[in-house]
Amino acid sequence: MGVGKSIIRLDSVEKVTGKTLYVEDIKMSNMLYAKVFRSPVAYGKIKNLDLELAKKVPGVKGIFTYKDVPGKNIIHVIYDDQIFLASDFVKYPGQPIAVIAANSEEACKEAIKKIKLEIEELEPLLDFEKSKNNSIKLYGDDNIFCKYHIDHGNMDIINDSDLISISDSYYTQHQEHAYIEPQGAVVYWEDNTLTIRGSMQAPFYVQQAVTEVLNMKKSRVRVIQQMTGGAFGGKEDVPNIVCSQAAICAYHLRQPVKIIYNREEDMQTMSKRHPARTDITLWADKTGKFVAVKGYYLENAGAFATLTPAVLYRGTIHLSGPYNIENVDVIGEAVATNTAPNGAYRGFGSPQTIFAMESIIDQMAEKLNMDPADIRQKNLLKLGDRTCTNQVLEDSVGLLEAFDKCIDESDYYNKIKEFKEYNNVSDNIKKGIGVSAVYYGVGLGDAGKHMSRAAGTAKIDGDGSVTVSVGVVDMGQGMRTVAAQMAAEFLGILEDNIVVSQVDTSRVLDSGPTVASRGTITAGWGILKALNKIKKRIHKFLEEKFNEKFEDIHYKDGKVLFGNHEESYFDVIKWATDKKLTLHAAALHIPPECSFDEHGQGDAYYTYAWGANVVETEVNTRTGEVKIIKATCAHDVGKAVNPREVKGQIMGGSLQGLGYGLMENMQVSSQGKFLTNNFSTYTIPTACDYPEWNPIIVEEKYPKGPYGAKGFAEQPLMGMAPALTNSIYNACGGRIKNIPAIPERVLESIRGKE
Amino acid sequence: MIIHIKFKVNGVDYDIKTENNKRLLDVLRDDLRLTGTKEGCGIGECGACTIIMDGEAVNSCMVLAGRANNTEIMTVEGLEKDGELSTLQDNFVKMGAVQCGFCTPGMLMSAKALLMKNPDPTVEEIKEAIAGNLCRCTGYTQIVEAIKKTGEENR
Ligand code: FES
Ligand code: FES
Repeated sequence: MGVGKSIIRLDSVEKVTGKTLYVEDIKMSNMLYAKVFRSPVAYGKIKNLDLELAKKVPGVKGIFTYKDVPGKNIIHVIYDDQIFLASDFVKYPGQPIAVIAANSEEACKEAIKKIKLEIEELEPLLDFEKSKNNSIKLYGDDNIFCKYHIDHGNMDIINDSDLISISDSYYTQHQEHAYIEPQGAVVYWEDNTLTIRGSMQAPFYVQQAVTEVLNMKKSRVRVIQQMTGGAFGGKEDVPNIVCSQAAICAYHLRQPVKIIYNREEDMQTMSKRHPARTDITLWADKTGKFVAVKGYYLENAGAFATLTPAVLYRGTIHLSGPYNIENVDVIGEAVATNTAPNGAYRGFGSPQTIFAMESIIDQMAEKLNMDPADIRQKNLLKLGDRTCTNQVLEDSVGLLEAFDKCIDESDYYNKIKEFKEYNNVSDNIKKGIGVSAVYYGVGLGDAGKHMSRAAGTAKIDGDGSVTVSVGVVDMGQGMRTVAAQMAAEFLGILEDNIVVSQVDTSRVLDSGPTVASRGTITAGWGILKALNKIKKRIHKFLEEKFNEKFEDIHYKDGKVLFGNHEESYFDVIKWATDKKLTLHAAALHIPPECSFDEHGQGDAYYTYAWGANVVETEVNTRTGEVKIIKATCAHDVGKAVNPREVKGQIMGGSLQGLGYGLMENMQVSSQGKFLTNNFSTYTIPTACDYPEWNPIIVEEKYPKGPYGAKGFAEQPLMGMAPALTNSIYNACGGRIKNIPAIPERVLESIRGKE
Repeated sequence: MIIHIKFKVNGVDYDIKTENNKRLLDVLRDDLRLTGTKEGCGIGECGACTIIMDGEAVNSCMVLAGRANNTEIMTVEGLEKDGELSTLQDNFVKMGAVQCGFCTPGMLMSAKALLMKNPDPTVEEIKEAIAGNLCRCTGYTQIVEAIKKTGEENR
């Protein structure tokens, strides 16, 4: 019971029996199906759209275009630049133009075939490295959506001729979330309220987006987060689009409408991790102390800004890594291309820059003839140090502990020796070991501070059972279980007394999106603060009842302990209920303020998670194939509310990172389409690909977090690609500067060194 | 065209009329309202729709309804015995093999089909049996361990 215990997930029994209802499982009477008619080209001007024949297809109930949008024809995210249904121009392949509602999916498909679109195809801009100031103008004058600059210390120091420097450029590709449940929603009217059930991470975003598109009162748009089959960032902002598509049909037709994307449509049109190039130069002194770093991070944002400003913020700040470097000059820029808009994906812009920094560190180590782990160890951030944004680390810096544990438990130094000996005699199979260190700014940071809030409610019924709510969702990560554990701990009772409500905007309070590894901390803050209000009333009630003052009241093992009294929790609640004490409360917690000035200086995030990874590989130098043998991943999470689930996040996240580094290879055609739009061409790790895991939990408590917890679940992904490629280098001497490390590239990198 | 299918699903005899172009997945989910079986890709690549047909794990999105005639089928809804979780399900729950749960029904059916033929499989045999079932959440180890443990308990 309670915090720190690996209780079973509260939703797992329903899930193993097949009873859990996901969006695709909802069926309503009179329900219609919706499908989207999309742009066939990457860039073009719509000349004419003829729907007449399509409308006559039997079963079709309505076809809706921009002309039918009662509100703004915009999907609001950060900037208002994303068009809901294209009216004049289309800017990426698959951009929505019309939505068809019919009484069967077949009828929708038939109607799509009958829509006549006349479009003037324009030359698309696909190469993001050529986007800036290109004559093809997709955004403003220069195609730059946003830019950040971190200017820390004084870069004049690089003129010191005793410093050793090394520069390089690194490329990273699109990454597809590959949640196994595709995007979907069901929208219907209930009580004169447009009700949306969808697979999503941010119901309050959806509510806002649909409100604007349909020009409704926000309270008349009700969004319920249906059990969500994986998200990883891929259901942060894009459900705004999916839900609006079904919503416009239901709005006009007053009938339930279901939309489920098929896999190809999902992969073709939904957000991905931003492809990027990172140019980096690192300066160190002869002892391996990092002195300065200069970076330029260029992100391909795709056709619209969507979440890019926030994604770029994180990637720029995380470029210089968890190291104490006094002089940092980093510029991040995101540019437009005629490809699907890129957005949030676990790590949120940071895996790209981390790949660059963690690779260049290994190159520096080699130049200085140092071990890659030693050079990192020497530079890791410690309590009291300053980050690249000049933020003083005041608490919860478990980096050194995570790093040392990772190195120890992976038996790193012995393996370095052992593998060297092995490789000397082995013909074409070479073994390698690689390391990376990472940190993760928890929460939305300065870029998202307007949404940073935690609002909870709590209600204790007369029988002592408790219902709590907070506006963050469970998308498979286990948020509701962890929230129940914290509430149970707080009241000293078992989790089976606690119900954590499903997020429903009509009854749960806006706590911002469930992103940025902020679920645990947000849930804890909101729920515990609400419960604490009730506890205070109970305190006063008990003092009056016993006519005594009590310093503290403790809730433990189903008992309430105060003064010399020890009473059953359930009796106390019954007494309080009988006296009509208010046993419900709502509370709002505002997390610590973040800041970021024009020099990129300030308290960028309220706290940080820390981690280190060691990856062992076997490289076949004849075929270029890489086998991942073992991964040791240590993460400082503040406090593991449920250690088993924390380890689940470590292993699952790390495998996504290994997939990113090794095999996930999104291919874009010369027309801007994704050629790899299903699981046979876009391959993700299977049960035959995962390594032996050693997930390690480090708990350096965050004093301002609930029970010392912070957040971390994005971090496991972030440093895996460079740990992998560093391991490949250690095995065969081939330096991968462009992930994924597919066999051709591995072979090329081996040839390159010769 | 309407066809007639007689088959047994989770021990219950069915005799239904349905469209010949329907996939078995749709028959189970729409006609029988057994929605535990999931659709993740519709083209035989993710394994979310795995069911057991005459003892073999198959992707029900790749099977036309007509082929189900005279077969015996088991879906995730058939795993419980008298309202109690089977050992396999229980081990999935206890060992953290479930996160978002969307891959879980298919994963369970591939595991069950393996255990029916090979009651105490090795880790390699398990990996092979679930190689067609994608899970994006867990990192797989917990799933493999849950199946392994179920096998050991069969000894
Ligand atoms: S839905 Fe059948 S294999 Fe993916
Ligand atoms: S638990 Fe989410 S896909 Fe496996």
